Amino acid sequence: MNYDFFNRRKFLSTIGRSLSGIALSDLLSRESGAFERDVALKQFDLKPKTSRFAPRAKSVIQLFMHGGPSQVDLLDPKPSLDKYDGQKFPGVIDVQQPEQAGGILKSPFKFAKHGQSGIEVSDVMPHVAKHVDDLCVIRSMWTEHINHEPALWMIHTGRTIPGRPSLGSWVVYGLGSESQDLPAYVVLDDPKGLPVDGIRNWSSGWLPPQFQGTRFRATGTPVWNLNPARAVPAPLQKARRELLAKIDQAHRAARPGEAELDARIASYQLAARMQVSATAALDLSQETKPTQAAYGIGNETTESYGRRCLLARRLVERGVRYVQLFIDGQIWDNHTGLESGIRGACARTDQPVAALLADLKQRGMLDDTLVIWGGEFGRLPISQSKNGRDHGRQGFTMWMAGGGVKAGHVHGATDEFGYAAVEERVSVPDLHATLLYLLGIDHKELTFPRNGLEERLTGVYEPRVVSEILA
Amino acid sequence: MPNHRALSLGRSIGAIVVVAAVTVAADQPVTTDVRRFEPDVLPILRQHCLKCHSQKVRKGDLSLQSISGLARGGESGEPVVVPGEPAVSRLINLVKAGEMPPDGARLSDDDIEVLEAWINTAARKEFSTVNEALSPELLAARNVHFLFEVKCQPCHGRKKQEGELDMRSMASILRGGKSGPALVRGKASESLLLRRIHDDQMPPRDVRYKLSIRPVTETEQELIRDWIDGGAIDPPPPPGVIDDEGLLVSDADKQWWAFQSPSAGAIPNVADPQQERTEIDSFLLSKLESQGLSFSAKADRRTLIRRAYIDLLGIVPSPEATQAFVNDATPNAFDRLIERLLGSPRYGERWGQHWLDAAGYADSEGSASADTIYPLVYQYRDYVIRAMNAGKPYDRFLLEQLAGDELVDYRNVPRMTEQLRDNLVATGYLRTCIDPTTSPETNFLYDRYQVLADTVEIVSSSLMGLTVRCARCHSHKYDPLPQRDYYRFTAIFAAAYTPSDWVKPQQRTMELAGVEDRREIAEFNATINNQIHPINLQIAALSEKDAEFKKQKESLEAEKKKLETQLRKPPQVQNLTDLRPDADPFYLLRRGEWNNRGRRVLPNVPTVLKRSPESFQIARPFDDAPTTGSRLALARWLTQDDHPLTARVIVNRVWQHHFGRGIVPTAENFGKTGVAPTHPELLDWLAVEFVNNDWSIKQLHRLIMTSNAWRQQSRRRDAGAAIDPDNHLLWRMPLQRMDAEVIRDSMLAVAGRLDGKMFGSAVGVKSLPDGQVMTEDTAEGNRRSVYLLHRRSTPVTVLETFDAPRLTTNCIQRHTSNVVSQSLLMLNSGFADRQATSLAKVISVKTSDRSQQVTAAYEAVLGRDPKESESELAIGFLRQQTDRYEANDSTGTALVDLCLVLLNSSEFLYVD
Repeated sequence: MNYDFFNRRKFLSTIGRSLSGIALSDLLSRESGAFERDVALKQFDLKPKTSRFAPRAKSVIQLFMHGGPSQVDLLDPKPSLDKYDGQKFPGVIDVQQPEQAGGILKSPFKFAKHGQSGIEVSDVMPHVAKHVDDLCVIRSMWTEHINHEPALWMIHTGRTIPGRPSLGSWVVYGLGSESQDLPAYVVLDDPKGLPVDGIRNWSSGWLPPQFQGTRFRATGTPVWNLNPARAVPAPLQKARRELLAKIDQAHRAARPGEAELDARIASYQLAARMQVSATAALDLSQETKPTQAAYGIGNETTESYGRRCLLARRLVERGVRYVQLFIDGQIWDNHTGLESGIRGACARTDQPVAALLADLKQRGMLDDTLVIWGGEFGRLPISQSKNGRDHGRQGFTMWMAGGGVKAGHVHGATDEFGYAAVEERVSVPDLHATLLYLLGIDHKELTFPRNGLEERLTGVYEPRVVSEILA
Repeated sequence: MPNHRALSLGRSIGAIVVVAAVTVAADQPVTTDVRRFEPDVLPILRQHCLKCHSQKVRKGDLSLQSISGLARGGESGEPVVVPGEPAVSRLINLVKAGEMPPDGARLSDDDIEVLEAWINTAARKEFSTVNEALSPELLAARNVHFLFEVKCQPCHGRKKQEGELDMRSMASILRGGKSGPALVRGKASESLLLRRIHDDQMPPRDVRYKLSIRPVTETEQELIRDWIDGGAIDPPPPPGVIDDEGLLVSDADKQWWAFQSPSAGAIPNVADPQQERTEIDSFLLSKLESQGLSFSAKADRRTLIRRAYIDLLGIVPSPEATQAFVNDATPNAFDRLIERLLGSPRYGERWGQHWLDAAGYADSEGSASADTIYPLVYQYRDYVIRAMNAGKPYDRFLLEQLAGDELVDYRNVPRMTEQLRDNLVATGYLRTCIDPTTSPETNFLYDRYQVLADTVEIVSSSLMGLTVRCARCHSHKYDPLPQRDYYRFTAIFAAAYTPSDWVKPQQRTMELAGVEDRREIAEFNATINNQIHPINLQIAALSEKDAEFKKQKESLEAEKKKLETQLRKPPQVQNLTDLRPDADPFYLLRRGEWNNRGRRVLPNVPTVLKRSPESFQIARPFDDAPTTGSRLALARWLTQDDHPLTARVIVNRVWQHHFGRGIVPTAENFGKTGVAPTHPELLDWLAVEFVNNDWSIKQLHRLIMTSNAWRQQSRRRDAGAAIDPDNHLLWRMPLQRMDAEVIRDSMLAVAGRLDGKMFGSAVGVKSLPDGQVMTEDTAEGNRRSVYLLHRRSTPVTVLETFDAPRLTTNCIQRHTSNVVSQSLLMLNSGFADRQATSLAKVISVKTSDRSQQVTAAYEAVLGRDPKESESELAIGFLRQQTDRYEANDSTGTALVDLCLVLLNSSEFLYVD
């Protein structure tokens, strides 16, 4: 007898036969209704799913830059800022804290062209500058809110309201996991502390909890409760598990057809495997000294982010679908002390990020791994408190690399002062639709029924896939 | 220069700019032949459109038969033609796209050309003759005044008139304030208002942030300038009320089963009366029998008592309770068990949690990273638990939660009685959603409307089983819920949550005191103040030159402080009440946009659910009431005995909590996109019975739990599995995993550490360095899960891991996941280890005999004796594990491991 819980078609046909007199016909004929049934049954899994069309990328590494990196100081040079430094900005400018706003503020950094593509990068990012020929720089991003949290919700979940599922959750809900012994969606947060908005950055919202990001710590035990709270020698842990397996199997044997009990037993087996595999993934000593050094491991400033970048590569290598890196607080929120703030942020991240790009490329992994760099918004061309910059939502820069995007390419442009995206503007939903497309998903088809709506990551927006950046 | 015009086209004033552009475009000389409505356009419309959009049929509330119909627009109230602008006229866009007419017959290119030519030529003049159409000038005047309302009136309006300026009417604007008239008609350059704005003096920078006001953009300034230069014409009167009730909802729409009052049909006959214990059995059995199925055999007593404890109390039974029930030879032992459980205070904690899920209860504000804790809201949680324990009739329960403040004139009662307190605490139900407006950064109109929308969603999904959210932006696609009905329903709550006169969450509090209570407090405080007064004098009289000055002052201050701590304050509650007896006008928001006001709506309930106009009547709750009575009207309407949804929805949810799935599987959605009920007749019978039993939830438990259906075994049988593999017909009791709270509370109970203290402030939680959130290992920290701090940003790890909902609005139906973090937590966490250790200690104190230890562990965790084979296995484990500990020179004990393994077992986590 077949008790396949996950076969919707079979389930529906059986129900259709057995529930005479109940109006199920329209459910059978309407795919959305059929899907709603699965939701009603509360059955979801992380088995690998087939993409709708050929994916360009298999995995994603998102280097999230909390606080809003300043585009005009990093990747979007604006000579006019030097020319009009100190003068009043010609026009209305949407400022978060108007009482501190000053005139135009030139960048403290110098820009130069790099690589064959000649993409300009400021001298504060010397390592990433060497890899511009692998980058696809989008200079025309814009978002809807000028404050951190709503803008974070926008970039992570597609709306400026809290509580929706994150991009990573949608991806693993849609694609499942390639790994048998690691979570599908791994978050590498900073041992120093949570980023702004904390664990909501990787929440599955109202998607089932198995799709939420699993935090891996880059030091110590990578996963919560991976090892016993009180140290227990391995053979004794094994003996516990064996006893549990025997008791559970006897329990299961008396309950034929309870797939849920099989899944429970399997989940304990996975727990045991993960103890080994997650620990192994974390064991950076397996990497050569030169590799470690390249990532900046061994250097106090770059050690932490370097470990996480290297760990990200090791996780993707082992089939993890979505890896997200965070830094404590919001290091790019340079309201004051712009120059030292950006120097500090780059000192921590520039070398590790460059090493990750080089490492992925050298191993041939960059082809099907999409790397995304950027924050929730950008910053303004005018000064705040003399030497800082306030939030800017109208225009900011992100870059991607690998996984099906053009290399050595610049998309879009901001205005003369870098205030607002004016050419080939890319909205956050556009970005989301494009990311999903690269993973082989049509953003309109990735839906979840909730309260009578077919919810999507891209919600009520009608975004477009930014085809100009596809390789 | 950057393109600033394009930049400032944010969400706020975009519509205004389009209108301004229209003005310009319409002034351009046109070269096309003049076309007129009557002779040229109407024949085309008559041929293609009027079948549905005549004045009489008005599908989508749109009439294309006259200019005024075109100007008035359809449901959303947006004109379908913008004179001079064919490209933004919906009429043109829809016919060009082939979306209209809907039958596939397209308009010819010639016809479309005629329509466009008309819009470009005569349309403007023709539109100017009808009342419904606002000229671009009037529209601009309205937009300017809306801008004043949002950006100026916070300081120059109802609440204050800074500089004696009131920006609410043309008269008061022209009168101006201290500095003279705010504007000079026709002369923008001489108008103070514009100068102040242009020089960035208004709205003042410091005030902007505090009051959540955006600066006036250049585009907006241009709009104001043009308006003043054009003579600063008066704005048109505010949009009229939408009063065409029923037009968009047909009688056919009302035929949907869930919109009809439930009626109890005949109890079906069954072939095997042996299996029929209650009416519930008859309904279920008749359907089973029609498929050649029947109920499974009755579960044994051990299974039944465990199931009953978990269903009603949310904790596993103690071995003693299990033994007593198993050995109870008296008749009706089971019925008495149910009675005992329904009388237990633990019942309200379990079923209170179910209600709190549906209400979306949390102890914190929920939006910003700070996630401020609300220290007063626990009173609502306690109210719910008390109401459940007291068996408060459900209709009364709803009445209090929706309109408790409107039931009695609480301001003039002598004493705050228990019942009055309940009334005032209960509207905490309407205070559960995320409200970000404490921070000025998220206190814009947009955010306020979001609070309203979330509240409406909680009410509609938890009480009415309806998902109305989509009707916020457009009429519901599947259910007969026009957008205007959505805003009418929202208007019920807008008297309290008033976007135009917002109160921040922590200011929405009320004193729980009667006149006498307050007088007593005042008298008491007066006596204390009388003692404080002389001390103040003494302090004032001290001389700094005195060597003893510092010491004396400190001593007096301390004395004073001691007295001050005795001062009493009436207890406070965080709840909801209307701001005034007369609510501000409330408008439909086109496309759900806060700055896109349509016509006005009056508070009302969805048309499709209204039996008669009289069934929803707003009246002043009592003489001189401080509220509108709209929520009271809603509560009375919802609790009418024949309401189509109220009883069905709660009966279905109670059923869901007993059987793991509702009779309507989509418990939050009884509409057309929901899943049809498996047993509609049973649902109706239960709903009617429930109302007849005085809306008693406890009686409903009795009905359900004394049925054979609830008491059957959970094992799959081939016969049932072949025909109905997912058990929709209930040929067995489904196997269910325990809820998160049940797992945590039961583990504590088994370990003998569950603290039974009820009520009060939430139990604090702490975040460990690795990010896990848990309570302290103290009596307080080991209280039932319902009392733990439900802070949205720090969900308790053990609860969250087992699918306790993360509340953004509310949760009608939990998911049950099966993830590795659960296994890791159960095997390795400090929490699990502590419970296993504690249980092992209890057992080892009683006996050192391994066999007896195994039996005791099985009884405590699984509520049964081990079978011989199990006992042998466990004893062997104890022996070998002890040896292993010795061999590994480790201090652990094998009995702890056995207890831990049993707590991890499927038999513990799943209920048969």
